[in-house]
Amino acid sequence: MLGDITLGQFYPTNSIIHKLDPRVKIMIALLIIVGLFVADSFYAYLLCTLFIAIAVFLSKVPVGFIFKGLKPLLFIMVFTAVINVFLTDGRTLFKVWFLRATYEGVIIAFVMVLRLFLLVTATTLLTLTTSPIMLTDGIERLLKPFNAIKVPSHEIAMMMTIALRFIPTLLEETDKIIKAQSARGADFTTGSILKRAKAMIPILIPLFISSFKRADELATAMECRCYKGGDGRTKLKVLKCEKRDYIALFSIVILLILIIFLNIFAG
Amino acid sequence: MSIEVKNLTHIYGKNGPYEKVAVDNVSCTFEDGEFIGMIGHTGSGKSTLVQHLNGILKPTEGTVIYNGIDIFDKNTDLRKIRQEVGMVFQYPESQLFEETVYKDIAFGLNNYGIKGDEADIKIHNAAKMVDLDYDLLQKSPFELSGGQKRRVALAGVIAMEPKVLILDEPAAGLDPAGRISVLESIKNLHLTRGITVILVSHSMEDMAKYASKLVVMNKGKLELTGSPKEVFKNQKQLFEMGLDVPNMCKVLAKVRALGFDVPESVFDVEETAQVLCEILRREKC
Repeated sequence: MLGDITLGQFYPTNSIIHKLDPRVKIMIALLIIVGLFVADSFYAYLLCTLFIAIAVFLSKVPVGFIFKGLKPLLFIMVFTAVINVFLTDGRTLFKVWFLRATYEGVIIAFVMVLRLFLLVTATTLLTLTTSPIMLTDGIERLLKPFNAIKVPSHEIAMMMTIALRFIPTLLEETDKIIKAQSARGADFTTGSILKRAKAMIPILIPLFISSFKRADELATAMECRCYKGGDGRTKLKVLKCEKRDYIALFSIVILLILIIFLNIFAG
Repeated sequence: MSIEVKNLTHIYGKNGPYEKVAVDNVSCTFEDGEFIGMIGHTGSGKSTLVQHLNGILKPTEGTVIYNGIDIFDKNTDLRKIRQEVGMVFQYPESQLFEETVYKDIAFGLNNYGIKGDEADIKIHNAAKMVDLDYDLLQKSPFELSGGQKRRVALAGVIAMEPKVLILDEPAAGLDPAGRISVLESIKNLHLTRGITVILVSHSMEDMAKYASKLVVMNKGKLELTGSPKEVFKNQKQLFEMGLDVPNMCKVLAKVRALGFDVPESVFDVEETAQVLCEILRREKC
């Protein structure tokens, strides 16, 4: 029943983008978001689009797969576009009833939709090409400087890893409990909202109990293996930047400089 | 009156990267009042197959006919079928949720609108059937031991008085005493109420002891069906499927290999003893 849900959308292809250091990929994703918000001219957007298009091409992830991830955002995109087209002041393009579309509105709408589209594509590409484990590894390393102001970087990463690890387990468990309760005649699909909410109780309580039990067991198992937090802990796979990582970082820096340059001189 | 499985196929994650054929074109009939044992290696599709019998899973192809009703027909009320075909899942204690044991057993009954005195009688009957002390009824199910929880979950299904009872490894993870107690309750239920029982299990000894008919699954297909005597004759085939035969079958096979004349259809401890005594007596003469 719930087995069809795909979570953690990692798409393995062993491309150069996949091999990039996760820290570098997270940094690039963050910087491109900054770049997209800073960009203010046609050429700047063109450059961003080109940059992301090249990354998608290099990742060898089917384009259709990426668009599938964009589907849930379609509504927001259309909504933003419509609002902008009709509610921007400027020269009239056409009129529908009392709504007035403007030239300026169309341009702003296009830019907004393009910005949203690129934002989501860039971040989707990050999760498509980086396994959850690598991702948390990268986040842990990137958060390390903040240890100085008492941010528990290792603990945050460990919590994320564990949460990700248990999503499929919990889905399986939920599926099983739903089956067991419906075998006892439970009905989740008919009745008023209140009645349906009440019907969730026989699923949620066993699920909570088993989660607590699991957490407790996991904590014991970790303690048995002498886990004591991040202090003095070494990594099996130490993240190491290679030539390709420096090239990637260099290219994003160039892109940002170009965007700022274009803003000043073309804007 | 029977359950008829017709050309049933179930594919998990169809057309996806992890497509798996769990049940592959299986047809069989379970007659009323039978005690059916379903055996198979882990992942042979037996759990998937039994979950179709009350419509918990929908087949990819094929169907199940219960007493002449196609249960996957659009007009069939699956809840009604589920009242008559009860199902106890693997580790059923994970479904308990109510404040008291009593209320948890009542959950199924309440879902079908059975309340008050009628429900009260059925709850007490079910508790008695699974050997549950009445004073446990007012306790929280989470205070009980593993074996007791299992019996509460079992009682929750039995209280609904199903005509067919499907049990998926009801004795898994229990100690020997708990194991015998649970299986004996099921046997008593079968004898006193005459209900059809479909028991999924790994234990050949249990199967030899309780089942009147065996169904052997392998890689999603139905390999063997028949009485235990007929099925256990195919020792070699069972071994190849990664399954076992009752210990007595192995003992007698060794005796047979020594050149003695031993009937093939014996697997009971007492019967085996008789056969061996007879051989010894003959040898002395």
